[in-house]
Formats: sequence, structure tokens, C-alpha cells
Amino acid sequence: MALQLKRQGITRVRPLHGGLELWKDREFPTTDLKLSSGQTQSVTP
Amino acid sequence: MSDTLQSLVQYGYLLLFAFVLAEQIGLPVPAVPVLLGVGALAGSGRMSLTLAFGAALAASLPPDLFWYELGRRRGNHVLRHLCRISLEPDSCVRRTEDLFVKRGRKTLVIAKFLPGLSTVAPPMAGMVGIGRLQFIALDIAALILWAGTWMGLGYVFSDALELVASRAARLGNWTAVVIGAAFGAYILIKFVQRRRFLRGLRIARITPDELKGRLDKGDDTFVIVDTRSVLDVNAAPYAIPGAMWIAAEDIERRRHDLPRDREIILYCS
Repeated sequence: MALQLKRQGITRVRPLHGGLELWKDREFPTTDLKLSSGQTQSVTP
Repeated sequence: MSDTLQSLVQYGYLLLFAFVLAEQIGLPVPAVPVLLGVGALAGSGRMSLTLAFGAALAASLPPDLFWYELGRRRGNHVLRHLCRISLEPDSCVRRTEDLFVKRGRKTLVIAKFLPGLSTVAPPMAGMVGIGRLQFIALDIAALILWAGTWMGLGYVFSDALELVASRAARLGNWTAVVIGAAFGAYILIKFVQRRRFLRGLRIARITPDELKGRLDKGDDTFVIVDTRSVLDVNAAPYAIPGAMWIAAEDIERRRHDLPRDREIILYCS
């Protein structure tokens, strides 16, 4: 993914270490995410 | 008959079992040449296709069932573990999930033809809840289709394959050296490319603590992008506050939604 973005000229890319799993393990806050088909969605805090 | 084919006749079923088993458990060992050879020998009456199918099934079904059951119980952990031995682990999980979303159960039937995916399709089938009996039926169908295709080609072109084997045997050890060197070079190049890329990512990555700190300070010099697949989001319907969900397969289409003057922080499961 990061490589794909770099190829498109987006170079300031930082992967989150441990992903969502580690974020949840740290008990940091999350918000609900419900998908509507075919659309991206911003999640508000 | 060449020495190669003589060995295949003598140890054919065992070799077939070993190569199919190795490929099914994820080792980068191609079973297709052995299937072609067995088909060729069956075409000349020196091996039995029925016994060959039996050997392939015995080598394929137990490891597939094992990974299927693990996938049912351990889900994404199993998939990631299997993908680590793939030469393309980053795309391995993603490609498998995308296929199951688009094609459902039919993915199992065609997965054996796709390098790397034949190993990860069974645990994915367990993860998405395909029933055990249905999985066994689909897995057997997949094996019959896959092994049958290659053995069938070997059967039809048995004369030509025997000629190729004889010519290769005349070159003697050089054939093995050239093939081995080409295969080794391919693996080495992939390994070096992957190490270079991972080294770059390791330097660039951000820890959850650092990200949380920046969010708490109200830092707006970055955007967070959730790149999980539909399957992953449905399994875990929550996200980091402020994250924008753009699945990996949509990145190309949605690239203009991503700012170029800010950091992009990516995460998946």
C-alpha cells in the first residue's frame, strides 16, 4: 500500500506500527464504522 | 526411457504425494511439473491416473482441512502467518480477501491454480464461515480440476514430454544447475527487494502512542487512512477517530482524495 502511494507521488506515508489491533490493545479510543456499499466514509471523533 | 522418467515411474506416486503436499503447505515447490510427468506416464500406460489422483488427494485434503479448521478458530492470525512464507506477503492477505468477496465459494475451486493462494484459501474459507462438508466437497472438486488439468495435459502430450525429458537428461547435471540457479536468483531478488522496502517502512512507521499523542494535541498535519478490506471492517466495525476508510483496492481510484501536503498515516488490521 505504502509503495503504491509512493509510486503515485505521495511520499510522506507512515504505516501505523501494529495496526488497529495494537491500537485496540493499548485501549485507545475508537469510533464506530459502518460501511455503506461503494462509498468511503470519514469517521468523526 | 530416460533416467528422469525411469525415476518417476519407480517413485512416481511418492514423488507426486510429496510435491503436492509441499505445495499445499505453502512451500515454494512447484507440483505442476510432477503432475505433467505423471500424466505423460499414464498416457504411455506406465502409471495409473486413478492411483495418481488418490495420491494427490491424500496429500492435499488433510493439510487443507487442517488450515480450514485453524482459520475457523483463529481467523486472521492464521492467514497472516501463512502469508509470511509467501514471497508477496503484503498482497497475499489482501488478494485472498478480495477474491472471496468477489467470487465467494468459487474462489476455492480456482485457488489451486493461483500461486500462493492455494495455501491461504482454506483458512479464509474457515474464516468466512463456509460449512465443513461444503468445504470438503469444494476442495475435492478443486483438486480434481487442478490435478486433472495438468495430468490431462501430460496425458495428451506424453510423447512430446518424453522427448523433452530425454533432451534434458542428455544435458545431464547442467539442466539441474541452470534451473536451480534461475530459481535461486528469483527468490534472492524478491528477498532483497522486500528487505529494502521493509527497511524503508520501518524507519517511516509511527507507533500508536505517538499517533495518540499527536491526536490529543490537535495536530492537523496528517490524515489517517484505514485501508482494511470490507471483510475486515465487517469483522471489526470500529476505527481510529478521524480515520478515512479507503480500502486498498480503491486507493488508485481515490488517490485524489488524499492530500499531498500532509502526512498519510496508514493502518490495516
